[in-house]
Order: sequence, then structure tokens, then C-alpha cells
Amino acid sequence: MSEYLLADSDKHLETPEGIELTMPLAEPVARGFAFAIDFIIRVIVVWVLSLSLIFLREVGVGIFLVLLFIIWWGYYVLFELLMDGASPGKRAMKLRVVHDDFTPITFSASLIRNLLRTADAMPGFYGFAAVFVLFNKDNKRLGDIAAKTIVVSTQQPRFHAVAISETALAPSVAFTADEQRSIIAFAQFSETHSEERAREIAQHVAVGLDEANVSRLVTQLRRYAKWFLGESR
Amino acid sequence: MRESVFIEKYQQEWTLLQDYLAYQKQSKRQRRQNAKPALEDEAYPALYRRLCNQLALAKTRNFSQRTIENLNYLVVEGHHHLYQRRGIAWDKAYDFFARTFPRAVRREKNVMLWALASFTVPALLIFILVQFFPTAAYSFLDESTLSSMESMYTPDENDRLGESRGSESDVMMFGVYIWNNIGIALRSFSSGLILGIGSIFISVFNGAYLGVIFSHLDNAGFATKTLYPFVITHGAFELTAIVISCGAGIKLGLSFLFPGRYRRGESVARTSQALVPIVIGFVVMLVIAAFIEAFWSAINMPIAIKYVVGSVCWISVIYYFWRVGR
Repeated sequence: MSEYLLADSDKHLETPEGIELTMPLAEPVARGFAFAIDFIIRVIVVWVLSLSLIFLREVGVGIFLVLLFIIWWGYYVLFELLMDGASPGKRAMKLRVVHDDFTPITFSASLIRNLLRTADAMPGFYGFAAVFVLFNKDNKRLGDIAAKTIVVSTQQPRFHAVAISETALAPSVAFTADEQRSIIAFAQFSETHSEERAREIAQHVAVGLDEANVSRLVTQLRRYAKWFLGESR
Repeated sequence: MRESVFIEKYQQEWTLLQDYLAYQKQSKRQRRQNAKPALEDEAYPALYRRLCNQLALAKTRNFSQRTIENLNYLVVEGHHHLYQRRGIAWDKAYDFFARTFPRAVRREKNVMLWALASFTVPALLIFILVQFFPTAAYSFLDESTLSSMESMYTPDENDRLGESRGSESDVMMFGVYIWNNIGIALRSFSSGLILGIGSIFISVFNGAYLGVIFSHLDNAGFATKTLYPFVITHGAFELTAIVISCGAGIKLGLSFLFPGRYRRGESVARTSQALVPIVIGFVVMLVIAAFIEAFWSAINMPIAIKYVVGSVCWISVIYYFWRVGR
């Protein structure tokens, strides 16, 4: 199991209720896109502001610079507080910033993680951020480490209710919980995908089953899955 | 219990929770338009804990991944709603400036003194150097910068650029000070995380720059007539805030370099959490400084008044960080 755990892209947390919660961490690429969207939004806002305030001449320049300061340094803090941890770019990419314990982000954490963008941006093009996100276990950049925050994906679970069209069969050997789960996942996968694809995967799923005929193996696994799901027929 | 029976039995509760959590996410305007959820606020925690139980049950019984993931998603949403942290209480603003901020700065006395040294030592050294060798100023700054400084602070009122501007350009300069000075201070703080190098560099650079300008204008005989009366009042807030931001940045870098008994990430997290009041404090100080610099320092008035007001500000700021909140 351990090699799978190393590649785990989920963040696990034990709650006060004594259960383990799981949240999928945001992918670095998705975060990059979110940053790009936010950047473009900020540039457009600044551009529109500069065009509309130019008519006020010197007063306009003064107001523009104050607003520029607020947008440049306050954009993320403002939106992360107002929109529950999601700047417009993050919301578009279905991402959200939360504390390490999955609680909503607070002002001071948001301030820390966004001020430290300066350090993350060094030595150029978010160099430190890129290195840290790729090497940190929880995909944290420096600002996230200091603020104790993580960026998670808020996408709804992708599993849909799939009925398995087989009759249940009690397996002759005992399967561990993880094996049962992967067999069930395989059976549901095979319902929505082609027979050929199912055959390719079947032998990797069936650990310790000596069934040479692959298509019979597929059927067997699907019937076991039905049994694991609690159907006796 | 079979999975289908399990789902049938609890589906109603899950729908209740789903509706309740969806309602909490809505904005105030949407809430007024839509019907209240069937679940009362008081009943929520109990039902949430039942849900946690159900997730645990679903996991131990090896129900399908679909059921477990759906339940997990619902619990994550519920957890996010139930456990919220206490943020900064804005009604405690008085408490912040009367106690929290000056105490936080005093707690970091050592790094603050180092930051002060990294600013004043280069400033003084270069000031003295340029006093003895006036032409040395030109090896630090180019001629056009220095001559524009001269024309900004010339005592001849008809030639002067710096003072007695119209109220329109006061607003403009206010914007410049906000964007420029607070930006420098925030960068000075946050770039400190990389071993404190950024903070110290910004501090030394600004100190040296100030030393050259002051000494050069002093040589020209302008300093006591225009420059010092101009800078003395807002300088009390501005220079102090820049030094404080540098000190906070050095502290951040040290917490990374020498984490002590903590893990490196944990050490940085704890330190930056403790530095938040200082960051808020120096930003507020720089806003005050920008107001003074734009709307008070530029007014043309007898220099004696400016010296008096400026001295009062310096004494207040020093007293504030020395005694207030002890």
C-alpha cells in the first residue's frame, strides 16, 4: 500500500468526532490557471481605472495610486475573506483556500499567505513558489507554509450511482477492505467503459485470483462487487 | 445492514443537511428571497455528529466508494461550517494600538535594534563622508537626481518644486506615498523570509540614499531651511515604520534559519502569526505618515512651527514604543 500512499494527492484529517476526512488537494496546474485569471482581472481593472481617472488630472492620479495599492496588495485578502477562501480565479477553477484543519480562512492567515507572495515570487516568475509547490507534501508554497493553509479542490465527488448488472456471488477467498473497495470501483468502472478497457485492467485488480480467461475474470469480479455491496441475489 | 437499506434509512437526514449547508453558502440577499431550510440551527450540530457516525459506519462496512465519497463530501462541508475560527476583532482597535502593537514591537526588541542599525549606520557613515568630501555625493547618485533634489528644496520660494503646492497635487502626492512607501515596507517585510536578505538590503539602501541626499543638501545650505522642516514631522512615523518592517522581515528570516525546537515550517508559521500585529501596525503608521507628508509637511509656514510639531511627533512615537502598554 505504501507506494500508493506516497502518490496520495488527498489531504487527510482526523476530526474531533474521531473520523477521518479527506479533501483533494488542488493541482499545481489548476492553481497556475487560477493565478493567471486573477492576474488578468487585476490588469483589466487597473487599466479601466487609469482610463476613467485620467480626466481628474492630478487628483485622479492620487486616487488611482491609492486604488492601485489596494488592488495590488489587497485583492486576494479581500476576496478570500468575502468569498470563503476563493478569489475569482480560484472560484473559476473550483479551488478554495482553507486552514490545515479544513476550517474557513481567517484575516491574519489570508494576510500572511498573500503578503508572502513577494517571497514566493523571488527570484523571478514565482520561482520559489513553483519549487515549494512541487516538493511540498501538501502542495504548499511559502505563504501557505507560514499561514498554515492549503488550497483544495471543491469539486463534487465524481462517483455516480451505477448499478452493476450481474448476479451476486460470494467469493471463495477473503479480500481485505482495500481490495474489496478496488473491486467495487472496478465493477462500477466497467459499467460505463468498454469491455476491452475492463479486460486490460481486470488482471491488475484481481490479486491472487487464478482465473486465466480474462472475460470470465471480469464477470467474476463484477459478481463479487455486487456481493460486497450487500446484494445477495 | 445492506448498503441500500443504509441509504434508504438515512437519505432523509442527508437531504436535510444538504439543504441546510446550501442555505448557509448563500448571500444575504439570496437568503431573504429563499425559504429557510427545514433544519434549525440548534439541531445542526447533533445531526452533523450523526452524519460523522454514518461515514465511519460506511467505511467499516466497506460500502461502495460512491457512498463513502458522497458522505465524505457532506462531512467536509459540514465541518467547514461547524468549526470556524475566531478572526481579529475589529472592535478591539483601541486595545490593539494601546497594547498589542507596541508590546509586539518591544517583544522583538533585538531584531528591531538590528534593523535600526542597518538603517542608521549606513546613513550616518555616508552623511559624514559627504560632509568631508562633497563631491562623493556624485559617485552615489547621478547629477540629474541631485540637481532635481536641489530644486525641490531650494530656499528661494519662486524656484521651489517641493513645497507650497496646490491642493490638487497634494492628493496626487498622497497617492504616491501610499503606493510607494507602503509597497516598500511590505516588500521589506515579506522578502525577509529568504534569509532576511531582502529586508536588510532595502534598509541599507534607503539609509544610504537618505544619507547622501541629506548631506548633499546640507552642504548646499538648504537642509535646515527647507529639508528638515519638511521631513521632520512625517519622518517620525515613516522612518520608524520602515525600520519596524525591516525588523519584522529579519525576524521572519531568522525563524526560517534557526527554527530551534520546531520544525522549519512550524517555526515560520508561528513567527509570522506573531508578526501580524506588527504588519498591521506599520501599515497604519505609514498611512498616517502619508497624510502628514501630503497635507501638512507641504504647507508653507514658519519653520519654527514645523520644528515644534515635528519634535512633538518624534517624542510621542519614541514614548509610544518605549512605554505605552507596559
